[in-house]
Amino acid sequence: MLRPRWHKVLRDLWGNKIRTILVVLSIAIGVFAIGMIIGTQVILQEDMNSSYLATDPANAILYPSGFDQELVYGVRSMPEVREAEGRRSITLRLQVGPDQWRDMNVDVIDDFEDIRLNRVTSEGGAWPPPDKTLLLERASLPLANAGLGDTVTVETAVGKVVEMTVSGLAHDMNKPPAQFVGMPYAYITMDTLEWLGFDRYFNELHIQVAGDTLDKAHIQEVADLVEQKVQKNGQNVYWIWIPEPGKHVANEAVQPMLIILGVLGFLSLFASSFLVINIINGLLAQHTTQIGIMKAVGARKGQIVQMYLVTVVIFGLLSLLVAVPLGALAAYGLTSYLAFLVNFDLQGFRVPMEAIVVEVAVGILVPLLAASYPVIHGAGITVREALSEYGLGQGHFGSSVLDRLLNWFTSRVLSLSRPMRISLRNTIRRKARLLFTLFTLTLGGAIFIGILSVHSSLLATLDDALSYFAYDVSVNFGRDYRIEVLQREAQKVEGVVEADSWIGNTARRIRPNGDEGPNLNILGTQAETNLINPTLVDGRWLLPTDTNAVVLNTLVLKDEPDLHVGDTVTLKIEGEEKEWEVVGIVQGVMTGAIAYANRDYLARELNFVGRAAGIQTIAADKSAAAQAELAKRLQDHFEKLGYQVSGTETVADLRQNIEFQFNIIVVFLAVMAVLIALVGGLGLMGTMSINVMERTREIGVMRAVGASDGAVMRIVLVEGVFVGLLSWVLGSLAAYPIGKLLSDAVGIAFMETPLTYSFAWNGALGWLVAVLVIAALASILPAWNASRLSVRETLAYE
Amino acid sequence: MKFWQRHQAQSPTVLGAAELDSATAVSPTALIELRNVVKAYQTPVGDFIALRGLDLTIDRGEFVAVVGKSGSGKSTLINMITGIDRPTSGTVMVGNTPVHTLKEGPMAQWRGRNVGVIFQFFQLLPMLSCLENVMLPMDFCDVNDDKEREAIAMHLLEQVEMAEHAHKLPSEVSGGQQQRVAIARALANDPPILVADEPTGNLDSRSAQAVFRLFESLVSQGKTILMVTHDNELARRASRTITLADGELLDEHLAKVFPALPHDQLLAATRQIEPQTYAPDQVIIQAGDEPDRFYIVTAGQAEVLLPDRWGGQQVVATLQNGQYFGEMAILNGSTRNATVRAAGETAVSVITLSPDAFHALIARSPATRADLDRVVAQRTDANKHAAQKGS
Repeated sequence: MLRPRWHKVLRDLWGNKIRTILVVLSIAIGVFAIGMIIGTQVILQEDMNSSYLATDPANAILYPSGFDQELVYGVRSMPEVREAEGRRSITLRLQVGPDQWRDMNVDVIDDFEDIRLNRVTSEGGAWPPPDKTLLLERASLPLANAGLGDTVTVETAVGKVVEMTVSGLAHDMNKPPAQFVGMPYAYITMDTLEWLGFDRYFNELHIQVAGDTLDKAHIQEVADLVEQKVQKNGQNVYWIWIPEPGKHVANEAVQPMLIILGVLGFLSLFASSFLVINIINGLLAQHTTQIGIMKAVGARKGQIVQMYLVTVVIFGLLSLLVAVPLGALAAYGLTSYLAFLVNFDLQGFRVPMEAIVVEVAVGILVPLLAASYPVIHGAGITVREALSEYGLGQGHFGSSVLDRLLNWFTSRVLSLSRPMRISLRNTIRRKARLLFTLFTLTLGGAIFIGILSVHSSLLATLDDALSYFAYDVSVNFGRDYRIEVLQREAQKVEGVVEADSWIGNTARRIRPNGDEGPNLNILGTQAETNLINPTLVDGRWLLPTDTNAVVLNTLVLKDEPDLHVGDTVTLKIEGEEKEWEVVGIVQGVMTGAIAYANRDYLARELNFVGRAAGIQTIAADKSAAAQAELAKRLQDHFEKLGYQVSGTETVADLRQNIEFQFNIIVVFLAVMAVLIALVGGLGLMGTMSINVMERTREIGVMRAVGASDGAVMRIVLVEGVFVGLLSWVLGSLAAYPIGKLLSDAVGIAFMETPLTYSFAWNGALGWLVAVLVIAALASILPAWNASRLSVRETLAYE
Repeated sequence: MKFWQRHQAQSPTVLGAAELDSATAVSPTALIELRNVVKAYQTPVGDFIALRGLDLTIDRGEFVAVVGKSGSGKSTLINMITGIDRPTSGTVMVGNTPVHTLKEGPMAQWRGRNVGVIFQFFQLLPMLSCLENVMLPMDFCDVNDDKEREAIAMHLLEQVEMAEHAHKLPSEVSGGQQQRVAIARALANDPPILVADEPTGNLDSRSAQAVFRLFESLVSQGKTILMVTHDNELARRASRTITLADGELLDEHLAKVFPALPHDQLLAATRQIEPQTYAPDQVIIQAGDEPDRFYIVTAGQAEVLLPDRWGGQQVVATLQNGQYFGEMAILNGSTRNATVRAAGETAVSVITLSPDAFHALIARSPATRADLDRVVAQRTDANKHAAQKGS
């Protein structure tokens, strides 16, 4: 038979279901958030990496000038290389609507039955693709606006337009998600490539190293050896890309996101622990007499502590019942969404043991820790104290300066009605409880506004980045043309305000010790261009008279922190090493590492004088629709002149793609904001319920002297809303630094630089509305309960 | 009875009779002894003295009613005995346990096993059934095993005629019934002492009577009961009444002799009384002397002597504990008309008041004056009658 004391514990839990539900939900939200994040992290890590590793990912990809299978054999024979494969990557234009074209990346695979690295697998239809047909990557279908069996129209850079059948679907995990880059992916054979009018050669050399495939330095060494071999073979290597070993490319973006979400999850758990303190405090205050009685009949403090801590453990266990399955479902849902975005398949629903262990630990330990002080303190009350607490006035008002100030303010300054004064003064009667509630709601508000500030900061950063490169529409050509002609012709098109071209290539810094740094772009521009609006950090911008001068952006300094204005830097471009003088440092925003040089000088160095393969234009009308129309007009104009237009790009499209990515970040953050706001709402509801319970006698007295149902309800509601308002003021103030912190974290995680901070004023206003609604909703139930109490019940309340 | 015996045998810290007899701190018959107990509370407006140097001895098996106005210190006094509160100074011995020295944890266990506490508002835990409420003290004090606990609790509920409601929640039974359950709970660990703070204060008169009868029955079984009450009728039915006023005990004898006197006067008089003891046959007052004291017998017997016709003295009355003498000469302004001496073989203890204190006492209480006049008239008549008989 269960001992009477445990009967009491169980019946206390069952007897006050609202309180039990409130505290269980409060704990559950925090545990749920933690479980969701950890579950997501574990499943994502396992499934993404195992799917990724199953593709036999290349450790490095070299981008040489055209080469054939012989070179591949040669590289394969190198002892340092475990495997090598040649690929061809081209860009075609795909018709996605009556008058709409989109660039499409096409991979040419020599032997679909013998893909050795970066495996592409069949997702249905033909395999390999028959001649003159293509396979579409499965995640590209919405962008391609086509499906299996459809016939699509494609155009080559030289203007050849052909119709091709989508003969099959493929899955390629090694490509960045199509939605992220706004470009569909397709796969064809070498024969089809030839049919399209291209020469048969490779332009990508995928290698997997022998030895430790997770050692980036080792991979770099091998890649350098392969580069030397390729160069000996007579080809230039334009670029070497070494992905993070053993990790999918999206890992870099997903992990910081999960860490930020994890921090927010812990914050919500932290906030929910304050609710536990409040509710357990309230419970103990309500049970004071019972504690006194139990002690009077022989209970020791330890026994009372044990009873209430067991109560807390049961709260924790109940919360686990809610949080673990929901957390697992949410983790799988979140992972599925991420898997969809990253374009890989999950290995099925499961609940990771790591998540359960952490959930159980935090679900039990955090409430226990939170409750230990109130329980030990509450159980320490003496029988006399416990039994002498009767009558009105629990939670004293009037003794502190704050009380007197509020008293004076509400009665003299505001001349509020009596019930209104009761509401406002009641608010600060239980100061510790108010502080805990305010903390939770304030945290919720600050994070809510902070997250919206992250959104506005992302957009501000995007604005900065896009205004950095101030063009609106760019046209890319299949070959290079004379810049003067391109400029002249572009100016003829209606809506073009200005046109200019820049030239570029990849470069690598040769460090003083002889090592090569990572790839960076060297961009040749006119010194007095309107297409670039650099934000100068140090030194100066380019002068027309500059020769070997470069201006570096701050993202170069991330890899090469020793560089300063006035230094001489050695850059290796197309195998040639040359010294440049650093004359300035400019802010780098979302562009990657760039070294800016005078176009004419760089062109001479590249033997590319006066020519460019693209042109950038500034539009008179900046709207997205106008940009799209201008792009079409430019394309038509150049095509009529017989130019090989390989594609056009509008900044509006670019913005849309980037905003899409930003919105994913904001959606995840917003989920956490909602959870934290929920914790805040529950906290307020708990506080108001406890307040009403504690003031039952007072409510009875008020009713006895004539307070109506409505008046009692209003008193409680106004108190709740007042707390909400207070939290809004504090939350808005706290949101500024929290938003800055979050923006910096998101910026550093995704763009390697803090975002341009923009505080979301509309977020603060939005939170005002939200917190008032939350406060009103949280107070309605307690207010309703208060209004239901009869005078007889309230004054007989023991 | 079986349950009680087994129960007691398994509760080594219960104050059993043998233990009580061997107690060194209190007199052989005393169960509770308070010495110079002071209790002061700190309040925002200064210290409030609830008990002022209280001395009290309660013997085993006594049924003591504690009376006094609100705020007189009744609850504080019983809180000292139950260990619910501690004295600021002074000692509280219950059996051989110095209650005032116990820490909170041992105190709770000691109380659970030795003192059954009964409250005015019953204070049953609302979420537990009547049976579980009775089992609770055994649970907390680890007395008996689970099965025995249930049997004992059921037996106790039978004793208080609540067995049929054993599985009901407190809210499902009446106030009187709840108090019976509370009494059963107080008896759960078979404590030698029951302390009840206005146990009938919240009951109708029928329920109050039933509870009181239960107390009487428990006293007859050897329990010692302290009961705070405002009900004078019930207080009179207790074997002893102690009265508190302003944190001090009124002299029990004085209060019994002058029931109509207000407490503040009794308190003033209590402060002025002088106790005296007389050896057997020792003369306390002599006929013909000027009146110098007023006397109340507190222990032993005193004989009232008047001259007989043969020139000797005859015993006209024997005064017992609680009876007074020496009032006539003071009231009449005459000399003593009778001799009073200690009777029997044991000493006589008396408390005395000076004539001034006596006059002051009755001056403000016409009712007391009337009572005394009536007694004086009765005694004068009795004396005349005795004189006639003797002559």
